[in-house]
Amino acid sequence: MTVPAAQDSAARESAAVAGRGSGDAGDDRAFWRSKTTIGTAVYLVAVVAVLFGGSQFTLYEGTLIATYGIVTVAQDWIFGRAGLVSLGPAAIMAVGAFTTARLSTEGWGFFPVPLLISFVFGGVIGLLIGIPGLRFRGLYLMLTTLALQFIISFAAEQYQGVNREAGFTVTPPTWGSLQLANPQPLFLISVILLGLVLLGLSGIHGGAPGRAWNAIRQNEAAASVLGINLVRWKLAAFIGSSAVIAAAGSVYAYQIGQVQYTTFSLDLSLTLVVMVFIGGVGTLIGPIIGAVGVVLLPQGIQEISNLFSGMPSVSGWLQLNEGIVADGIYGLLLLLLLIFERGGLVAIGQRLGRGAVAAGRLAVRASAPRIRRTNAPSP
Amino acid sequence: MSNDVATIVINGLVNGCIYALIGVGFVVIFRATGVVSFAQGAFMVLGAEIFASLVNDGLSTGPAAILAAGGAFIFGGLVYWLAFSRLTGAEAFITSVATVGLGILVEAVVLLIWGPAIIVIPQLFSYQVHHLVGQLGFSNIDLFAMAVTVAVFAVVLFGLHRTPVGLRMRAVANNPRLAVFTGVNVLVTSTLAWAIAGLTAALAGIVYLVGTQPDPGSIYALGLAAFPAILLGGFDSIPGTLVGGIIIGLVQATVAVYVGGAWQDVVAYGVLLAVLLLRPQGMFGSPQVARL
Repeated sequence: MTVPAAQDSAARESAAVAGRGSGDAGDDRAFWRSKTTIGTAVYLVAVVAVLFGGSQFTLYEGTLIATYGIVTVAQDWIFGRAGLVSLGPAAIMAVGAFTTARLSTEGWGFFPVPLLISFVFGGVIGLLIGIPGLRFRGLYLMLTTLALQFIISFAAEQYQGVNREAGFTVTPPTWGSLQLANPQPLFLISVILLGLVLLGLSGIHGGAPGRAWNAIRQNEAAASVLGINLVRWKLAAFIGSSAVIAAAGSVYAYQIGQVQYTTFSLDLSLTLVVMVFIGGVGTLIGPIIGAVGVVLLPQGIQEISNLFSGMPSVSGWLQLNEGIVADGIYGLLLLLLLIFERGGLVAIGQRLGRGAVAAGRLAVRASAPRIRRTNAPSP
Repeated sequence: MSNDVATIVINGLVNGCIYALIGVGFVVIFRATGVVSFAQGAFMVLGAEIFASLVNDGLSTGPAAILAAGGAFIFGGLVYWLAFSRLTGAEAFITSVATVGLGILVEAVVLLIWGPAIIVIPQLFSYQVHHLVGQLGFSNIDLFAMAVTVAVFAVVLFGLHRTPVGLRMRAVANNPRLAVFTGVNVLVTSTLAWAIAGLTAALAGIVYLVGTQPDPGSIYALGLAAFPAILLGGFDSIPGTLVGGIIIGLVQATVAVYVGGAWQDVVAYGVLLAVLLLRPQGMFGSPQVARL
């Protein structure tokens, strides 16, 4: 490698000061190749494809994935970045959902008012959870959130009361003549919200807050010694993630139309937790991949059962027990991933990708003609 | 003694015994391998379903219970051997989330094999009531529950404190590295710990099944409902878990009689929160478990 010529160094220096590195075409390439840009592009393509080309069912599933995605990304915020595990996301969703349902029927349903109010209530709940959370992390926090899941679920049950077995109906929001709870608008709302959350979080995680949470996750004592205010950052993580989860609950309420306490059970909470770990804790796409996997798995099983259409007993059994088989697969997958590949599906994908690239390189090298080197390499 | 109080005492004791049976296995796992297991409910369901199948096929109660518990014993050991031994040294919440995954998997398998309906077994105990203390009338089922609990605790405590195997388990629980240096096979001892947990949970499931006629989901949920009792007693105390179980059982029974059955679980979880906030190590737990 030759030593760079002297006249470039001045240009490089000024470019470095301006914060753009040694400004040349390679730098723009770096921007286009960066994960954020590619990710955003893929996201936009996927959204447009589903929005305009998807059937009602696809739109429904897409909205569900986006809604769960918001929750899982928020959970990754507290698990993967700050090291605080919560077993109660469904309960926080319930807060947003019930708030939205009641507001929509009491005349406060103008979108996005219920969403914003749910966001605020979620933040309040986050503050309440955060206070005991300051004392514990890991296990005791899990138990605290488990207790809160039950308590909030019970409170919702009491609030729903004996008279409303079917729960609260959500009056669909309208903007003039536009019905916002229809598949397409709702899908758009959910993906916009998810996009905002992703943008916000990628910005925060990349900056000082992200480093603070990372430090707290790795070693609280050391972080505190370094001057990181544990109380402030832990509370921030709880309040922020709970607010976001409650907002997701609000969108969920619009989607399901009928809000009952039974929907927001421990089962849903555990499913949401499983999504984060299966996809890959500590990344932003991981939780979303987890959400995609979990939402689409039952359909995958349907497809597999169709493969067995020649054996009606097998395919019939699969179709009948779709949900349970899916649950079993999640449990098994979670266990296997935690033992063998903590990074989740994202890490497996990366490994496969690297393997493919390496294999590709080997193939290219093997097929390229041998080049005779005439210049000795400079010292 | 009024009827209400009698009901409270009897139900409280019996439910407390079930919590204690779940808890003793939990504490053994926790002390030996440091894992906070959310999967006790899964072992309970397995034991209960195997027992039900055996009993429905004509086997009598005793042998069926022994076989079912034995099956859970083997299963618990296998779970550790194959899966959790590879998670040694992982952060606490990773292993706990892994137990959640295990629980989901086992629950799914149980539902696929036996179905989600209420587990039906023939009547195994007569409804004869024994008036032991004043107006407290214990049915045969109640006595069965309490007898099993007493037996299990006696065997476990005796085993831990008076046998070489127990000594090794306590060594591993106390200081795994040092135990290795003194020649204790940590893998075997930990496997044994998990096997014992599976066995006691299975017995808890069987006792619960015989007393009520639950569906698998309810049995599984009980595994989580035992946490208030375990925490109250102290995560690493075996006698504590018995005391904690009985206290929670009595508290829940009192709430059921005077406030309403639906409030039982909430009150128990309220106690759990109170314990966490006020005295995390519970009544008899060691100080090390105050900050998990």
